[in-house]
Formats: sequence, C-alpha cells, structure tokens
Amino acid sequence: MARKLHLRSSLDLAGLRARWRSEHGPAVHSEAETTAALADVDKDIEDCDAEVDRLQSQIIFIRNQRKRLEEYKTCLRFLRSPIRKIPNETLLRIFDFACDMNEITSKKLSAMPTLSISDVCSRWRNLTQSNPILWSRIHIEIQTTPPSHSRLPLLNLYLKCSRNSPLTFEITGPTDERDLTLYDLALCAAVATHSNRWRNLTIFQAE
Amino acid sequence: MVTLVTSDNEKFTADKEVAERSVLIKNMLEDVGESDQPIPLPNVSSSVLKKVLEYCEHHRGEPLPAADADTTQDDTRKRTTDISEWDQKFITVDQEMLFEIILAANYLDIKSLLDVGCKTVANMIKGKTPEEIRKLFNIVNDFTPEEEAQIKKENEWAEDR
Repeated sequence: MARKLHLRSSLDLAGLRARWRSEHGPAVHSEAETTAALADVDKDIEDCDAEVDRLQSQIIFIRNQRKRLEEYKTCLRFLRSPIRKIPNETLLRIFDFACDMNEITSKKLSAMPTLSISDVCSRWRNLTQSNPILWSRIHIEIQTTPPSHSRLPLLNLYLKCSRNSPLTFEITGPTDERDLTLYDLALCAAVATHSNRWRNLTIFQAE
Repeated sequence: MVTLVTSDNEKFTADKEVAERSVLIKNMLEDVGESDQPIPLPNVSSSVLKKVLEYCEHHRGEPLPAADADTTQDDTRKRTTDISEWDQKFITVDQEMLFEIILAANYLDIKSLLDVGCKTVANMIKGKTPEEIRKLFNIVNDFTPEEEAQIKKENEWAEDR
C-alpha cells in the first residue's frame, strides 16, 4: 500500500547555505542551473500533492470500510440479541406493561411508549399495530401555553390504531375554561367523538 | 421431594410445594401420580433453574393466581410496573439471564415470575426513544426507506426523535 515518493531534488539545504556564504560576484553559478533545480522542485511539489490526494482518498475509503464493519457488527450482535428469543405473546405482555399511558401532548416521543416501541423495528411495529389495546391509554394535558404543533394528528393516530378498543383517557385541564386554545378544543372534540368507546375518563385540574 | 433434570443434565431436588409453583410441573406431577421419576426440563438450563427455584423458594406458600387471571382484565385492573424489593434484587441480572428467566417462567408457567421479568423489561423500555431502545437491546433498524419516511413524517413534532 505504501508507495515511496522519489524526489528529484536533493534537498541539500546545508549545501545551499554554504553556497550563499561563499558564492559572491563572479563565483555565482549560472541561472540555468538554478532554473532546472527550481523546475525539479515544482515537479516534486506536484508529486507530493498528488500523493496527499491519493492517501486522503485511501483514508476516506478506510473510514467507509470501518463504518460498514460497525454496521455489520451491530447486525451480528442483533442475531444473538437475547430479546429476539422472546415469543410474540410474551413481548406483547412486556409492551402492555410499558404502554400504561401515552402523554400525547408531550414534546417527547419517549413519553409515548406505544409510538416509541412501534418505531423500533418492523417486528415491534407489526406487533403494536396488531394490538389495539396498546394505543388505548391516552393522557392529554391542556397546556397554558399553546403547543407549536397541533396534537390532533397524533391523537387521531392513537384513536385509529386503537380500533374498537375501550379507551382510557386522562385529561389534565386548566382551572379556567377561557384558557382553552383552539388546539385544545379540537382535541376535546375528538375525545368526545369516541365517547361510545370510553372505558375511563379522568379529568384532573392543573394546580 | 421432586427431582428435576435440566437441559445440561444437572439434577435438582426441590420440595413439592416449591416445584409446584410451576403450573407445568404441577400438572406433570398430577398426571404421573406418586412417582420418584425425575422430571426432565429440556428447555431450562441449570443456571436458570437455579434462579427459578430460588424465586419459588422465596415465594412458597403464597396464593397462586387464578388460571383465568389473564382473560379477566377488568376495568379496575391497575396497570402497574411496581416490583417488590426482594423481586427487584432477585431480577437484577444481566440481560441474557433476564430473558432466559422470562423464557423459563413462560415455559414452566410461573405467572408471577413471568410478570416480574416482563415488568423489568417494560421499565427498561419506558421513557426511551426508539434509538435508545435499539441500543439497549442490540436491535437493528430494519425499516424500508418508505416506512422510515412515514415514521419521520409522523414524528416531526418530537424534540427527541
């Protein structure tokens, strides 16, 4: 892989220094000699640049190989990951415990275990989507400052995935109804639309 | 006393009352009647059975859950992932052993132990992003580019996506 760089120039700096000190006046060598030496140096510099380019592309290649090896390692580890041995029904039991409540007005995916789990891998996504009960426990917090995004699409996703399951809602509301924004009213209206599926509706008043 | 033989051919003896916390073993004993025959457990290794018996020994005498407990998820059933102090200490094992215990509890039909294992894994999952979950359990993201695009669109709003 390593290629030796052959320089035309002698790089004899000590010799040059000696000549500066000793060659004056008529003793100075011909211009032609230094012109040839300078041309060699320019070619050497070009060679060096070309070599740097070659090595840099090699570094990029090696870095890419390394990245691919890391990915391959992750896949190999996955093959022996103990969680893969767990049968679907047991995995669902785990999900059922993990998805006890989904804070759909949170700004964080990690506060919505069902959605988070469904985004892990295809097996987990298929399992969550074929189990409506996991999408049926929803917490809505009516915020005093309006959210930057409407949460209606998210609530609708949960309502759709929960299919015909009985729903458990927890709603934390403001103390004054004048605090409700249009976003909040839309969420409440969607909750009301599914009143035939309510199993539990608990309303907390914010402190 | 009951003799149990593990997948790696190790013999364990346990009190009938302890072994019968496993519904599988209880049914087997009922089927064969009074017998000194050892019970083979080809799906459980000795290191795992040792842990399982430790659990059954600690919980001996406690009432067993009703057989139909799973199907009667009533409205008031409180979904809790609380685990008692002893159980928590017991289940503080590496990931491989944790899943082996879950598999054994499932096979041996020991519901309370299965729940301790499942709740422990559930607690590990809770409060994590999909990427954090993948990292924790060495899971590969195997979504197609189309699925990936859909997920990205669904989660635009999330700060921690």
